[in-house]
Amino acid sequence: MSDIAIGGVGRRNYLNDSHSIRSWLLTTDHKRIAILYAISITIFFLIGGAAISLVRLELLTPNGMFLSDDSYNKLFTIHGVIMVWFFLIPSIPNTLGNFLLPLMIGASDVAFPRLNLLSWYLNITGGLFTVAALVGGGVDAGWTFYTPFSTEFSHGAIALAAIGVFISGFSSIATGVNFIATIHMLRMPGVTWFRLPLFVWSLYATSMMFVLATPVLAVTLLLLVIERLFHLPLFDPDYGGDPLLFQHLFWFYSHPAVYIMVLPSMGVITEVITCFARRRVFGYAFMVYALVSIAGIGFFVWGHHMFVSGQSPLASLIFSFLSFVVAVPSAIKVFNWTATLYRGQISFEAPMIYALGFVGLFTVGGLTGLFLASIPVDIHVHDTYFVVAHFHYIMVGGAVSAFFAGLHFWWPKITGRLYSESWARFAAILMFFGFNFTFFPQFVMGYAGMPRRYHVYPPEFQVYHVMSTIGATVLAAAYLLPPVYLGWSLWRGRRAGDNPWGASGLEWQTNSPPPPKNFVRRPEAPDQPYDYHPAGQAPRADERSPRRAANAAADR
Amino acid sequence: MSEDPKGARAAAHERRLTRALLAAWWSNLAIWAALLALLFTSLGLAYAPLGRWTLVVGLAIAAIKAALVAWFFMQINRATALIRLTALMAFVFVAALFTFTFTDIATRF
Amino acid sequence: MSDQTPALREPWDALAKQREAATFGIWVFLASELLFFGAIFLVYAYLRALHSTAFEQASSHTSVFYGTLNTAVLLTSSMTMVLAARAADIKVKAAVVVCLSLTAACGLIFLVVKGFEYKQDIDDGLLPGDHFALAAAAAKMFFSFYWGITVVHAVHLSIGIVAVLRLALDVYRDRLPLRSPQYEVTALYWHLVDIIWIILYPLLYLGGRSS
Repeated sequence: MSDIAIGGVGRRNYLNDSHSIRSWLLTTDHKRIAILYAISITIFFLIGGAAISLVRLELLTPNGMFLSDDSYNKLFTIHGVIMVWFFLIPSIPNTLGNFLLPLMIGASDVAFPRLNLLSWYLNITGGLFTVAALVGGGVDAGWTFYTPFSTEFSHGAIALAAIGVFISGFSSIATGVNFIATIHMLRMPGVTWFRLPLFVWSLYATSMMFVLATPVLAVTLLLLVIERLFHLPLFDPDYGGDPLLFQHLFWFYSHPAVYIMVLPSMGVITEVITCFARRRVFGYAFMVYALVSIAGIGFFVWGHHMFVSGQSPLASLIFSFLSFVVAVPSAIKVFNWTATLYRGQISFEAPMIYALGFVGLFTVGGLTGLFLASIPVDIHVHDTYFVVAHFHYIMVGGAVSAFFAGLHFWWPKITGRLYSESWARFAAILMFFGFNFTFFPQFVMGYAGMPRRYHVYPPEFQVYHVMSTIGATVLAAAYLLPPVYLGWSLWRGRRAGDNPWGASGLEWQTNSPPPPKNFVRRPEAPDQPYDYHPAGQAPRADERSPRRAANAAADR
Repeated sequence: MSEDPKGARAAAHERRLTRALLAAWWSNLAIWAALLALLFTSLGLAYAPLGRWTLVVGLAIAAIKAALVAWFFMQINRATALIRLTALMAFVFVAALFTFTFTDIATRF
Repeated sequence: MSDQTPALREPWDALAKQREAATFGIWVFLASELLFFGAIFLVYAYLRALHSTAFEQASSHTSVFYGTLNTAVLLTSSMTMVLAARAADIKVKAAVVVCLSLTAACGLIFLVVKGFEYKQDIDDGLLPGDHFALAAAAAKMFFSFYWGITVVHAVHLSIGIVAVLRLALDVYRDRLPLRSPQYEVTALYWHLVDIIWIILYPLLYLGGRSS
């Protein structure tokens, strides 16, 4: 019965193993937990996306059309809160990471499977509190919750939203503990540290940040709630408190948070680029050092969000300098991805289109980050659309592209089905154009002075806002395509073989979809992580590509 | 008759267990006594005219107590290098939080 | 009495590895707790740096008797917790149950004493609000910190008490083998809660007493 929908014919896999709701909601199988997360992040993505669609519509005219100032503030806030904590942060680590980590190291599950399930429940409980805040009055303080507006003057359901995010933080910490223990203790013999796929390294670096940064967010939100609900002053200047204390605590977490969002993306990109260029990654060791350096140095740059807040010039200088330093390992990664392409046999399947898009868009985002790290420039563009464009280039152009790259790359492994390559390529290209049309005008208008979070704006910026909204419409259409053709593939897609891409990695040595305990036959640990040819051994043009051969085999 | 060797082994086992338990009891009691002594010392010193040093002295004694708990009760000395590195990492990042934040408030004018 | 099988869980195939992983896992969690309380201590340090005299004077109004008593109680509980974990290693079930129960009892004593202390604090007008007793504006911040951190600590302690009681019950009913990693894990968490209080003690109770 179940074989009609998914899974290899007659083969027992993690999807058809049992069908009850109970077996899904009480599962400890990391693969099923990954699917649970995939469903919840999709719902949150739709909520956050709906909010910003209303905002972009409203911004078509300089004086607003159908929203009050309050409603406008609540919509952009909820967009930020949901997208950061309930979509971006869990997206790659908890869906792709959960599914693939044990497979990539040859293990049968993560170190603490029940804790993994608890992570998901904490995440959706936090999400429910946050959505309750949305419905129960809305939150209008921005996703940054700055005091004293959030503690004293806002009339929104701030405490409820803060509690929701607080709860979801424990989900992150639990995931971090789980992944770190898994990588240290469950690698099968032969899988040494410097043979790990870079996706695993990226999850390791991300998990370190989960564990070390998230607790500080918990404290920040807790103190915010204490001051707001119980009127116990800590940040209130009337009693000698300091709003900058809130900002220091908030950004100590929130800057590493952006690396939490982007490092797993970088891991995915390396997996995809190496496969579709048929090349070993260039400079594996430096790629590892870069990941770990970004994670580490990323803890020391948070003050670059506070250049105009009243922070001391000396502290600002130090944070500015360190922000330049942290760009270096990111740049190393971009160079190495580019060098990986050299003398490769590049093909443009959908994952590769997303991955190449990532490299370009992340570079733009990263460069504009350097502009912002420079104090004089930041003073000019702080709190303008320049900043908004910068972080969307990284978060959407980068992280979301990488998520889609990974989703398509591993779709055959996760579902046992092949999606329609033509529709996927079309969606990827549409997304690239829609994205740039949405966000590039924002760089221009931000530099010209358009402030962020403004409901009403001077009419000279209308042309940019209209371009941005048109781009957003195209982008939205591009986002709505994958659910359609991916969903279709679950019903009618061709069955995938074990390794439709001819990719290297232990996850490709098991069935698609994998059996409940991951491996039927013990996989063979390779003696190097990317089993593709090095530059000096690129096959000639007339030689058959191994991947095409593998594809042909899967078709039979 | 054949039960005797078994009984003797069981009795020897019981004695070993009791000895091990008592050894644990005494050594940990000694640490506990040290901790209480430090507690009352810091209490006493709080009433001494140390001016600005009261806080430093109080925290220094607290640090010693914490170190005793970590060393003897949590047995961090016998933990793997990995675990000690984990604890160290936490301190490094707390130190960074303090250092950079204090760089700000110390140099504002 | 202790079989290997119930303690062993997926995905481990050897109990020794599982114990190692559990110990490592709890230490990673403790690292996160150190960052959590580290951030709270930063708040204290920051506000005290801005208002050192007011903070010192405010801290002379806390109850040094209850505070010192509670510190002694927690130090004792740490000792009994260590004994419980050692007894589990040595495999003496009765000692494990007794020591775990004593640990939980000490924890409960702490909470009861804290309750009395809170009552006295409220009677002394030390709850920031309309009837706050101290004049200095920054004193209100000291007490915001005091109430906030002691409640957060009490929550952590309560979680520890529940964990210890559950452990004691499971051992008593022979539902948990003495080789399980859970003793070590619970003990480490308990010691951290103790260490946090050890550091809090001088910050909350020993200031401003020397005049």
